[in-house]
Amino acid sequence: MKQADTMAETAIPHGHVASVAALFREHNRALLAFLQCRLGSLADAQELAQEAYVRMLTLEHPEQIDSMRAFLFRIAANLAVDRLRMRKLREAAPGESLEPEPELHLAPVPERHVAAAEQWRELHEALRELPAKTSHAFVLHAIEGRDFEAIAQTMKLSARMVRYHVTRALAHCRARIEEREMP
Amino acid sequence: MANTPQHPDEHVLLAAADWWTRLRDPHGAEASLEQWLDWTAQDERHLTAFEYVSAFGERLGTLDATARRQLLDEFAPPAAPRRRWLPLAAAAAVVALAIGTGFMLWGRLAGEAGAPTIYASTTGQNRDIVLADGSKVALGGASRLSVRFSRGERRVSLEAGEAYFQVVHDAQRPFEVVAGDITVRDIGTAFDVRRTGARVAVAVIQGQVRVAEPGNASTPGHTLDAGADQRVAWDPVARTLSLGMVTPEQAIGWRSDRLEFVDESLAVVIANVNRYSSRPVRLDGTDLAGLSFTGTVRTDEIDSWLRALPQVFPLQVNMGEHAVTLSVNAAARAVPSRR
Repeated sequence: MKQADTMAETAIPHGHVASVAALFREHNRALLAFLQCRLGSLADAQELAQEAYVRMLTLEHPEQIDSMRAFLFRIAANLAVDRLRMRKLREAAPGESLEPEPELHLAPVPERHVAAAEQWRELHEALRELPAKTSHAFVLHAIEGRDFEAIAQTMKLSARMVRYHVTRALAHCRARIEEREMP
Repeated sequence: MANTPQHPDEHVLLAAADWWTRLRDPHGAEASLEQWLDWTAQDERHLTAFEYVSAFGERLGTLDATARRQLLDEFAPPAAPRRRWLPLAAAAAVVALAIGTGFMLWGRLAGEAGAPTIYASTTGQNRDIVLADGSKVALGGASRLSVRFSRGERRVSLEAGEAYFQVVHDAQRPFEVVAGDITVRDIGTAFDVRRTGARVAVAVIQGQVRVAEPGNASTPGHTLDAGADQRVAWDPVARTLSLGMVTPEQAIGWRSDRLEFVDESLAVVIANVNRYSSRPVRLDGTDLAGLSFTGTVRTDEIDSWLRALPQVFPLQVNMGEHAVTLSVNAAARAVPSRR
C-alpha cells in the first residue's frame, strides 16, 4: 500500500517513459511471440506483456540497467515461469473442472465442428508420415503438455533427443497443414 | 498449393520450430533468449515464421478432449494415462472381482482352444480388453463379443452393440469379425464395428479391411475393401453393402462418451442411445423411425438430449419413470425451421 502511494507521487522521469515506449515499439511483437511460445496462449501473453511494461516503467533506478531489452525479456520470462507454476498448482487442485465444454449436442454438425474435424484428420495424417518416436515425443509435448525431461524418462531418450523430435514434428505438421489450408 | 510469399520456407520453418522448442525448455531458455532476439532481428521473416509456429503450438495445446485422447491413443499409447488396456491376466482378475457386482459379464466356458470366450458389457459401460494376441478391443455399452482363436485364424463375433478393434497384424492368422450377416477381415488395422439389430456399420480408422456379404455354399459373397476414413454399411433389407466417408471422431467418439451420427435414421440412433441410457427409450409409431438425425449425443446427458428433441423433430417426449416414449406430435406436423 505504502509503496503504491509513493509510486503515485513520484513522477516517472520523462526520459525513462520514452525509452520504455521505444522498447514497446521495437520489441512488442517479439515479446508477445516469446510469451505465446512459453505459455501456449496469446491472451495470457498479452496480459503478461502488459505487466512487464508496467514493471519496466516503475523501476526504481532505470539508469543502472545495461540493456533495457534484456531486462524486459527477463522480467517477462520470470512472469511466464510464475504463470506456469500457478497453472500447475491449479491443475493439481482437486474438484476443479479444467474443461468446461459447453457442447450443443443437437446442433446439426456446425461448420466449425466439421472444419475442426478436418484439420484434426490432417494432423493425424501428417503425424503418420513421421517416424513413431518423432510423433510420440511430439504428441506428449504439444498435446499432453509434458516437458522434455519427463518425456525423456518415459521414452528412455535424452532430453536433447526429445527436443529434436518435437522440433522436427512441429515443422513437419505446420508445413503439411498449412499447405492444405491454402486455397 | 504453391508457396506464397508469406509462407515461410522449409528452412526458416525448421529454425522457428527449433527456437520454439528451445525457448520452451525450462533449462537454458534464459541463455537462449539473447540469441533468439538476434535471430528475430536478422530477418523480418524469422519472427513471422516463429509467430506462425507459436500460434500453431497454441492450437495444438488447446484441442478438445476427444481430439487429444485420439492423438494420444494413436501416437503415444503406453503413456496415455486415461486409457488403461488391461493385459489378459489382469483383466481376468478384475473381471473376477467385477462379477459379484454385476459390473461385467464374463463367460469363460472352457480354458481350451475351440471354446469361445465371451466378453460383455452392461448398459452405459465401455470396456477395454486386450486379447491373447495383443489386439485391443474397446467394447461399447450393452455389447457382446465372442472370441475364438485357433492356430490358423482369429475369429471374433460381435453379437450385439459396438466394438473398436486395434488389430495386431499376423499374416499367418487372419483376424475376422463376424457381425450379423457380414464378415470383416482385417488387413492390419484399426476399425470400429457397430451392430444395430441386423444393420451393421464398419468404420475404418487406419489401414484397410475387407467386408464380405453373406455368401452361400456355391458362391462366396461380394466383398468391399475400405481404407482409413471410409465406412461400409450393410443394409439388411436391401441386402447391400455401401461405401461412405467417416471421421475417426464420428466413428469412435463413443469412447469419449459421445455418440456421433451423420444422417442416421432415428430408429438406429435410439437403438444405440439405448445402449447407454439408464431408462429404455421407445419410439412410438413407425412415422418417427425414418426421421434422419445428424449430431452428437453425450452419453452422460441423454435425458437433456431427449428433452431437446422436440426442437428439431415433430415429436413429443414423455419421460416416464421406467421408460421414455417418443411419439408423433400431432400439433407440430410441419418440421420446424432450425433456428
